[in-house]
Amino acid sequence: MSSEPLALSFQIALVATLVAGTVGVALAGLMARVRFVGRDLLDALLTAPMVLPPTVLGYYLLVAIGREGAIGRAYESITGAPLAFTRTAAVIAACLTALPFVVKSARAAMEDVDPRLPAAAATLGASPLRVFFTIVLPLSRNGVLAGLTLGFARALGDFGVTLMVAGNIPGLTRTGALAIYDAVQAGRDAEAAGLAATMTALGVAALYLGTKLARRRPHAW
Amino acid sequence: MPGERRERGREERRTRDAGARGERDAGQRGEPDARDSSGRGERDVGQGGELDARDSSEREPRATNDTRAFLHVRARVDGRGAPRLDVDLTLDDGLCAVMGASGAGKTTLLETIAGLTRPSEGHVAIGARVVFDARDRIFVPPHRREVGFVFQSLALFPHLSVRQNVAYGVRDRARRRELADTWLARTHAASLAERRPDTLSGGEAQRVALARAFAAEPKLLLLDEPFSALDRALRAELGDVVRALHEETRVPVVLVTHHREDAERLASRVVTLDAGRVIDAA
Repeated sequence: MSSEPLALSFQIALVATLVAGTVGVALAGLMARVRFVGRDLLDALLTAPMVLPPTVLGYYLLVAIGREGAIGRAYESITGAPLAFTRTAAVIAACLTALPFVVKSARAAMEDVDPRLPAAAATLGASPLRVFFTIVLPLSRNGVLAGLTLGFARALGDFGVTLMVAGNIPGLTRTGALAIYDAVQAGRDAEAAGLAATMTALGVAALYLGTKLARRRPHAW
Repeated sequence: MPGERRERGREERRTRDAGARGERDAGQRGEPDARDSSGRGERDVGQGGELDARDSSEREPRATNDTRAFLHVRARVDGRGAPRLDVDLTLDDGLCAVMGASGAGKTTLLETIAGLTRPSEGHVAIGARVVFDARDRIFVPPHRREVGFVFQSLALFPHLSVRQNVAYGVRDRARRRELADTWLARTHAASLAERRPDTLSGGEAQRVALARAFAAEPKLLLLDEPFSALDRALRAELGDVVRALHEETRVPVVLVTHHREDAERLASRVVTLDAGRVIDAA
């Protein structure tokens, strides 16, 4: 069994988690701290990747980042190469699947922060941004970390979206999940079993860590 | 107005009579707000106790009328059915107490002044500065109002040490630690600097919350029943700390309390609310 697809999965999931983490924490902060029209609609849209069939998600993504899509065309005009069916596309796919987990968990944790604490910080002269980074984010740290690990676990295991927008290119976009499919199709049962077991272990480890982090005392550093 | 700076007097400056209300509108333009013109950096609080008297402008000692109108709140905050708050109130720059049963609108009043609640109707002016006006669509957010707020729950930041809590609002960044320690010393809490808020007793947490609020150098300080959970002796002691700091810094204080003896002992004026309205503004 080649470890390459697993390493690739890990690498893609890691980058995707970093990106989804940054974007997701910002969006969660916005939704938890700022009241605006369409907040719940935005929440529903961001959460939709959790429940939509991966093919639906993949389809939309392909429309956006394919050679004819707005993002795809812009990317190609800048870099000179198409975006779809590259490793970057695989990262985007993983990002999109990870994002809802980050947003959900981070927003819940941020809304759990005693509202008097950010209010007190504001009366001490702290700007909303300073309040977010010095009070809200540190106090919701465990929930944010739990969301990141969940998102990572989800990104690690993506199959459908990755296949739709990044294909199944050995060494480039063939992740662990896709390699299992190939191995089963080709009758390489031992390889499929090995990959499945490893991915299970990775996923369970990430979820276990996530639960541990979420349960920690809120302000134990 | 540096030339008119006065030494801080030891004499009892706040007379019990604070009849200034109504005589002068807090929003009146004729008199510059001394606090706005004195540079923040000049106010040295590092000299243990000898705080530079806040410029009291041309305030001449008037035998019976040593305070001036400072805060004007006309506000309606809607609630379910009847408004949660519907007041038109002018307070002077001394130490005022607000009393009333729970649900009378005391906290809503303070939140309106601090900008934590946005009234549907009205006008709020602190000194010469309009911080809220429904008609002119003025709403200064809480972090720009320079209004300190000590919550009933104190709201100490649980992930920061006592010193970090007090330093949070200190404006002179280079002297954050030093000024935090100075303010802790003034509330007799210097020994708590390294502690975490969850290890403090009720009285200790109060001292820290007061130090934190004063350290931010507010132009007005609001205290929302900060001593309600304490026994009588501790309440009296902390009340004295509040009064001493008020007299030293000249920061006007609005104190919400449900203990009449606290109100009468500390405040130059007592306002009583009921069902969101002022029923007694003696």
